[in-house]
Amino acid sequence: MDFVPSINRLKKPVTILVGHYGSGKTEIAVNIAFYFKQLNKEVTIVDLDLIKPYFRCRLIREDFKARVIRLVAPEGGAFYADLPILLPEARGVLEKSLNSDEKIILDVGGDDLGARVLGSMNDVISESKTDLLFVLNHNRPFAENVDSVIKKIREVEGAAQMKITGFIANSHLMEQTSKDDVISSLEISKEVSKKTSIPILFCAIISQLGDEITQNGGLQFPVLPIERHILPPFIAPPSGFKRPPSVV
Amino acid sequence: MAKKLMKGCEAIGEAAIKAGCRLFFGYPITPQNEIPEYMSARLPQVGGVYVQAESEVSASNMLYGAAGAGCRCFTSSSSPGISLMQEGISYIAGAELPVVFINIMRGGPGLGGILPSQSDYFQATKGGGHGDYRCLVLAPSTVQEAADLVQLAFDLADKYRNPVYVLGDGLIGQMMEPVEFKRTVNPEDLPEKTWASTGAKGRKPNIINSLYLDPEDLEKHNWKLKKKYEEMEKNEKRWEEFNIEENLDVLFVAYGTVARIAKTAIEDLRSKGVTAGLFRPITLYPFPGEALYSVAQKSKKVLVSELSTGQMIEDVRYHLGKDREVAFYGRVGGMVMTPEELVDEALKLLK
Repeated sequence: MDFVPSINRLKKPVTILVGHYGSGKTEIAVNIAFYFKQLNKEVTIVDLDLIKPYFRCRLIREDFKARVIRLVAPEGGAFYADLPILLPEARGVLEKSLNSDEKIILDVGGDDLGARVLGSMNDVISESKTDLLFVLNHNRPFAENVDSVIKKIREVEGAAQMKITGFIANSHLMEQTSKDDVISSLEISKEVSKKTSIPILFCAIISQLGDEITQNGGLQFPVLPIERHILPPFIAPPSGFKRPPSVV
Repeated sequence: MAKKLMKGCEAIGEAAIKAGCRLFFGYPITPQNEIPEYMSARLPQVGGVYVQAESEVSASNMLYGAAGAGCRCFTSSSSPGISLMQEGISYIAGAELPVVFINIMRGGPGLGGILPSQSDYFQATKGGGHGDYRCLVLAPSTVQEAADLVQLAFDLADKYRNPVYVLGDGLIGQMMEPVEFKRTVNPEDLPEKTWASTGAKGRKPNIINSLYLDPEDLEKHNWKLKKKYEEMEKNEKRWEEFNIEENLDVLFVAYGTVARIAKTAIEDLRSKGVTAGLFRPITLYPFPGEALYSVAQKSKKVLVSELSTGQMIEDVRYHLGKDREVAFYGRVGGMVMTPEELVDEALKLLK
């Protein structure tokens, strides 16, 4: 399945992912980073998740290294901590982005609490060079209906001190997602989009389901096929990458 | 109800609400903060009360009070916080109160770390606090099972008037999977607790107490509790058998997330021509020792794996007898074994 039409909608050098806790930001950040790399871009991913203690993108640091993607995350003992550690390096990356064409992805923690870190970096984030994307999964608690989602969007914008520029529709139930799940939840995303005038940039779909959907007439949206990389220890990582004995 | 994608912690919280529980008392600690967080958002929506106590000690005593008044209530914490609650748990066991305790275990001893562990097995199954008492201990291995066992925990707590633990390693709390809630209990529909202290209008007062100064009374009380634990042992043993057949090469014994890892290892071993199976205790107390014994007779080797230096293995050895060799593979401190490590261990054992 072709990812290019979707990934090309991310035109700006900086992509920041925000949204409800557990909406899929980290997995999408990782997939986007890998796709950019496939297009031969220079890619930096910043693990700005100051909220969740496990399953952060730093978990697959060896995979990033193998693909020559730069990971910015705390090191040493702080690597494993769940403390609000904001690295000076993260600011440095963004300052540099003002005069460079490399791709920078910020994986931010969930909810307005997670987005607060963006507010504190306001002086180094240039809105004209940034896609601030809100990831929507309507199968998650507190994200089921239009009103609760819009409320969360406003809270996140307040904390980030920035306006959301687009949605990534990402409703799924992992491997149990059906085509109908995707289609019915997309209706809610469309309504959120209509009420907020924020466009849906693309629909993220677990890759094995993607083919079934494209063969059945598609979604009238660009589709971004997603592979899971941030996995519990009992699921084998894709592409033969060696599992680490850790779940950071 | 349609399936939802939930973190283990969130599923545990929602399951408590679906079990008719409207009271939560607790204190935050990683890796289970999503439970108090979830309850603080959800309980006001359903007319419940969320209280963040000033410490785990006070939370456990608030539970004593709420349960004594006949209300379904629960708390959640992680290893060091559960240690702090032990005084309350002993009193709750002594006063025969139904309370559900969720322990999302992290590495210890002491403050340890925030990554997954199963090193509170002894604490949960053998005591933890002072006195002659037992807690029922349920150990889920999926997010769905975490939700199901929380609902069961409330029923068992009421049935036996006893504290019940749901014991999950950090991964059970932090990983996400689809969940379905099959049953919703309305608090008003729960049977009346005639023993609770609800205001003694028109009847003799009910007393919730664990103090017995007369040794004859205390001895009687202890034997009464013992009888109750025997009932639990008779009725409540639960386990899962996976891939069990005659003439197994290796039998894994594991619970929680480690059982999931063992299942992946079993599939890998099969492709290498090794027949392996899994015995997964679901209740850690009472331990399903007789069932394990009969399954173990079908296997050449027995391999226990835990996220500890070896705790459940003591129960396994006790039930299999001193003549049976039992091998062990553990990872600790928050390190989690990979399926490949278990495959290697099994192959080494068969050499």
